[in-house]
Amino acid sequence: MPATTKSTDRSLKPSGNGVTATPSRFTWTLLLVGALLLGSAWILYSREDSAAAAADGLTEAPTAGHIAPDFSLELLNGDTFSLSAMRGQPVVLNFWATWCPPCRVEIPHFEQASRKYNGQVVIAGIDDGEPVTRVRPFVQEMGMTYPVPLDEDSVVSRRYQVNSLPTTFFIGADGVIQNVHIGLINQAVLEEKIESLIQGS
Amino acid sequence: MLPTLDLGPVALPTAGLVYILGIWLALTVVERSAARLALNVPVTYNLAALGLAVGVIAARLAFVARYWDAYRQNLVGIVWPLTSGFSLLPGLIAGLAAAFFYARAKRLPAWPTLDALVPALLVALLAISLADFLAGPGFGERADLLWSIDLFGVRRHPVQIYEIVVGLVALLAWRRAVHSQRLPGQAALMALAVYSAGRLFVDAYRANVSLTADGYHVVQIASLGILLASLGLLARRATTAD
Repeated sequence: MPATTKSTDRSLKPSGNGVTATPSRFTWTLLLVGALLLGSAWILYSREDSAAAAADGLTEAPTAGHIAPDFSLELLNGDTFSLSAMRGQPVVLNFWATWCPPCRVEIPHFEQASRKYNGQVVIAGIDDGEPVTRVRPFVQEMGMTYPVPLDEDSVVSRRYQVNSLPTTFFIGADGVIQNVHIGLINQAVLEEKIESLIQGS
Repeated sequence: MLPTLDLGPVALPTAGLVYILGIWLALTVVERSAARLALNVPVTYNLAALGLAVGVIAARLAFVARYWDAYRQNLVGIVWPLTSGFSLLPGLIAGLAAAFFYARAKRLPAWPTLDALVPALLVALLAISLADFLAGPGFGERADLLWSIDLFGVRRHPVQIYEIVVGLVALLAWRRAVHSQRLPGQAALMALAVYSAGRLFVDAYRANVSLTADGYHVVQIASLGILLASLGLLARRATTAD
């Protein structure tokens, strides 16, 4: 006999003291009606007022659902990159460094995305904790044309609680962080997240 | 929050670690619950493992197909990195279909098998909540309670902890019901009912949620649907038992 039949036979028997603990059909039906009424009422009660929900998220923190902390950093050409100046368009912030092998792998993906989504999204590669003398030749070698803000003292990196490189923040046009990707990102995932940002905007 | 586990120069993503641990634990639970229910243990285990493997592969392939232009230039990207880049729905459908056809081919009894699989599903859901707590995007509504957690200077409901408690209560309900059930499947349905009722309740305290156009919580609506379906099937099973 298969073991499964044994199981069915055993389960048909009443429990230990001869009295089954399973409620009757009437009890289950009563529970079903109760669940329908209470559950629906709770869903109605929990309904979000979109304005209130937006107000709740308006705290500044380096995590999804919060306002991206503002910063201003110098670019390689001497100009200033300010996050608040980008408000109104989606922003992708990629924290990287020249010594980081996965960063080197994904930089061409960011370069390609910056060309593909030019005018629809701002992509910036924030170099973490390195002098301009080291960053400039690397940027030229890799052919990076998107903005590279220099976070030489890692002030912004600390504010964004970047513990490992690379780390990428996807920020909506409203300044709210939509997603944080820790580690290497491939071209397809990058495009998916950028398209999601553009659609959300 | 602990997005990475720093071991010297190596930073391991905690969410990934919790997912791997969750999968291992869930498959272990399938084995143990199948043995407890006197089912064919290797076949039940294979059912869960096959459904999972097919689901993951299908989710990846569906994503690759959608972004083929990007993958065509980087074929290695199809298999690495695997930390992201999955299409959930195609994976879910393929995984369930594979499990269904395998169960039919092996003539596995539906209700006892469900009894063995549901605790594993609950363990997997517990892992998802834990990963979200440690490194995920989820967070609770503002609340100044004794058990509130401080998140970037704001005290909030520890909503993922609520979900974990709900999952543990559902596992206890399964454990209790499996001893006293009159027909196979009642323990699984009861555990599903408890879990969905709990999620329906606690999701109200989640701040960043998926909403319908009218502002209703998607998870709450899905939970109510599962709760009603579970209770309806329990009523039907009770009639059969009588």
